[in-house]
Amino acid sequence: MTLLDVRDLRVAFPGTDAPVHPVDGVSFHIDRGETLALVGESGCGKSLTALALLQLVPRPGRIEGGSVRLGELELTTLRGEALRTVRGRRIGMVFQDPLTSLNPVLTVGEQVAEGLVAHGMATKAAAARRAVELLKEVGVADAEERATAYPHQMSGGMRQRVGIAIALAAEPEVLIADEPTTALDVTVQAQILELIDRLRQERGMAVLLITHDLGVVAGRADRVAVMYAGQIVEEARTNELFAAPSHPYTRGLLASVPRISGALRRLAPIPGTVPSPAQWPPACRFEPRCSERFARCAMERPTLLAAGDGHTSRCWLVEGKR
Amino acid sequence: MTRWLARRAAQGVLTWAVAVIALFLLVRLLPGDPLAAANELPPETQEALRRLYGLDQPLLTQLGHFLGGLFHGDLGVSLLHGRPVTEVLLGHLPTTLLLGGAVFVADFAIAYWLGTRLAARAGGLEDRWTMRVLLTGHALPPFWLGLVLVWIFALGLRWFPAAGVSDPFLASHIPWSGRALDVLRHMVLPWLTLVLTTLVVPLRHHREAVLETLDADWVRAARARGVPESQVLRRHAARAALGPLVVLLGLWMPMLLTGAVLVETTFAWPGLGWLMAQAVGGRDYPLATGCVLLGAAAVVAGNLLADLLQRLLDPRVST
Amino acid sequence: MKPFRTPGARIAVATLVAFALLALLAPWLLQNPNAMPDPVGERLLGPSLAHPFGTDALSRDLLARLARGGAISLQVGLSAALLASIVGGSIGMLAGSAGRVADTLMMRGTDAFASVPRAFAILFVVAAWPEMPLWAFTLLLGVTGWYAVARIVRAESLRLMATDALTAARALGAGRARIIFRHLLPNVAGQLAVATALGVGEAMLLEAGLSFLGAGVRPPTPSWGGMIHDGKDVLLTAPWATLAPGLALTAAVLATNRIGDALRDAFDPRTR
Repeated sequence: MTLLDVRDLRVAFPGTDAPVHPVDGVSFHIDRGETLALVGESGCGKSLTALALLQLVPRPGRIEGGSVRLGELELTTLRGEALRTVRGRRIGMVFQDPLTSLNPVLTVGEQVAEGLVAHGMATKAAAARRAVELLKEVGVADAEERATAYPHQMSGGMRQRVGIAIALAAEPEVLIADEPTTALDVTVQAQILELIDRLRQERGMAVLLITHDLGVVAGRADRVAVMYAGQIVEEARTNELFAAPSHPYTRGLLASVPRISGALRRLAPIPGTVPSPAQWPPACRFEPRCSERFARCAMERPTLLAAGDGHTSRCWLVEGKR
Repeated sequence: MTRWLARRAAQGVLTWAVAVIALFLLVRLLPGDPLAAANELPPETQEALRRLYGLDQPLLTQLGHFLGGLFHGDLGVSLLHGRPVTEVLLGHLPTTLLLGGAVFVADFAIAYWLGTRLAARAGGLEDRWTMRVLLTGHALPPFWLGLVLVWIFALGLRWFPAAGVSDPFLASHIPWSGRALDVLRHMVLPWLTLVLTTLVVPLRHHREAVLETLDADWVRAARARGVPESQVLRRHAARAALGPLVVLLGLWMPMLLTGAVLVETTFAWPGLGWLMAQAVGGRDYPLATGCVLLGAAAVVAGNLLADLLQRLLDPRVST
Repeated sequence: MKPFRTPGARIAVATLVAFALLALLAPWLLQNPNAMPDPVGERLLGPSLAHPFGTDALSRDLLARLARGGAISLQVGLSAALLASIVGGSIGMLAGSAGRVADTLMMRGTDAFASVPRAFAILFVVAAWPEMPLWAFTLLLGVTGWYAVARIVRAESLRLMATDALTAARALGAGRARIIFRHLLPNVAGQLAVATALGVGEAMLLEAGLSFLGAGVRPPTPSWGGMIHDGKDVLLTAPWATLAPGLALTAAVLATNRIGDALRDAFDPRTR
């Protein structure tokens, strides 16, 4: 059953000549209890997509079109109080850098409790007690004591646990985790991902996991949407994506993931970087970096084409194969 | 914390001592003469005065005497008042603290409240016009603004007294509350003058700091968990932006004292600034020295207080 | 120039140009600012065709005094601010490019100087040297106004010293002079310009205040502060004698502050 349904989402920023669209027609959906991974290099628009869901696009950017439906509720047109009751209460968000996303002058306990009070779910005193429970639940040792600590007094991993406790406080139906492990040590990364996955199962939340690392996705996401230059270029169930990637960009990403098992092979990074939104090629946006391009790629814009059951790909090669 | 405070206080005293010695040497090296006022006196009297003040001694001996006296709280005798300078200074200190304190509290309270409000409305009509008006206030000569306010509200409308700190003809049976009210009535115009000409500095500072924090990740994170906008502003952005305002506290004292010299003189408000102007006008060199020493001490103390507050308010510094 | 595209900044420049022109043309257009043609009959005249701003208690033409006083105010303010920027800029760059010990010593010294409020320091020197000439007064305004500049320039210099460009320059053996003139100065020039512009208004206000107290520009040389002092005794009968110099001073300070802000907007990428 679809819980969150995003259609043709477009985010515009004023450019030097014309407005640019770092998020340019993104569509995906997440079912209850499901994890969707949104994967792409930095600069592809995946974080902005997440922020747009809650109307948190930094100024001067704005949502230009499309729809975000949470159940029956359209989120892009919500304003004021109505929007506030969705933020945190129905959709929670974990941010990339727990150091900068926590207020330095408030204790972590205050910040966890804040969401509960804001949504009228507890009095101040009850919220403070609940905050300690939440901190315990996300694995903060000595939670009573740590609740009175300031963010700078904690380690990166602990801070991110606090970030998760904040996002979970008001028991949202959807959890957006925007690169939740990028700022952390490798050893801590797995723990945090395990934690998110465990909480998803316990609470039946839908999770949108945003990452640049396909290695993080395997075994944790049900489905994967690969994003490039403001668009989704491939979407498939996780197993299928790893087994039979259809878009050259996805293949490039997979080739750059180190694997522990299997034959030893060279890591092959994709040459170049994501161009800035003002310089996106008119036809296929991946064409200049693509090793499999042919004449049509530079002339005609590919649409999302079916590449299998529940598997779509924005590449002309798919059409040739059928 | 105690150790830090002790170190910082010692540093403050050293700063002050360096300033005092520098001033002492500066004046002795100038072509002028502290006894220039005595020019009309007979040469013998001038010589006697010179000996009295030790001006015939070598420079270093003079400095030693000066510092020695300073150490014992002895700053010499005021020529105008005929009393020890320390006594004169202490007598006028409460007056200046009353006015200065009232201006200080108003400046920072308004700057905090209004700066936060304007930052949330940045670029809007209210923001633009408030800033325009207050920036104009900052360009007004304070003594002139004082005169204009006196012209309008004291001489014209007769709402407030034009000068002084209290009404000398107030009947002696008036209770203390009536006397306090009288002092407050006298304080309104000098207070308003100083607030209008200084407010924009902390206000603009705080407004910009809040604007900057409003772009911070953790403000976005607070919004993402459904914190109401009023609390995002007051609890998150404004509180975290307090740092720059506190730093400004330390720079405030020199500004306030410089303003006080002119405004206290305009309103005949007998505080430290008025005393300084009087000492210079009356060629009362020992009194002028005392005023400068006290002014510098106030600045050093202000800096110390600002540092202390900063440590107390920002958990990142204090722990 | 880019900073002067906004209407506010243009009005500011126009205001200062008008004051300068008025001062330059005054000798031909107006009477001698110190002339007292009829010390009794022309006292405290209201604005008229012959005296557009009226006359003062000594029956001197206020417009002529305003023009001359403005020229002196602007000269004093500009010279003092320039001096403050040169001193502050040099000390800031030296401290920022010197080692830790020298830096600490210089900045502690700056703290010590800065602990004496500017008006107190100047008045104190005036107390010891009552017959101070105008050049010395201007000098004094300048050497008491550089502390903030030094702190800003030092902070920026420290930041620049840590950049790769300067690390490379030092690795190649660039001397102190080369570092300061080739690397630091061009990068702090913008902030210095802003500080100078904002310093002019501050110096003008202080000059007027001290002249008002009788400790700045000495009579009979006309100055706006001195004119306000003379006017305050006749505030009720001849308010224009107080209002005119005060408004002129405010306009001039507003103009220099506006130019400073325009420069700041142009040089500081954060506020753009």
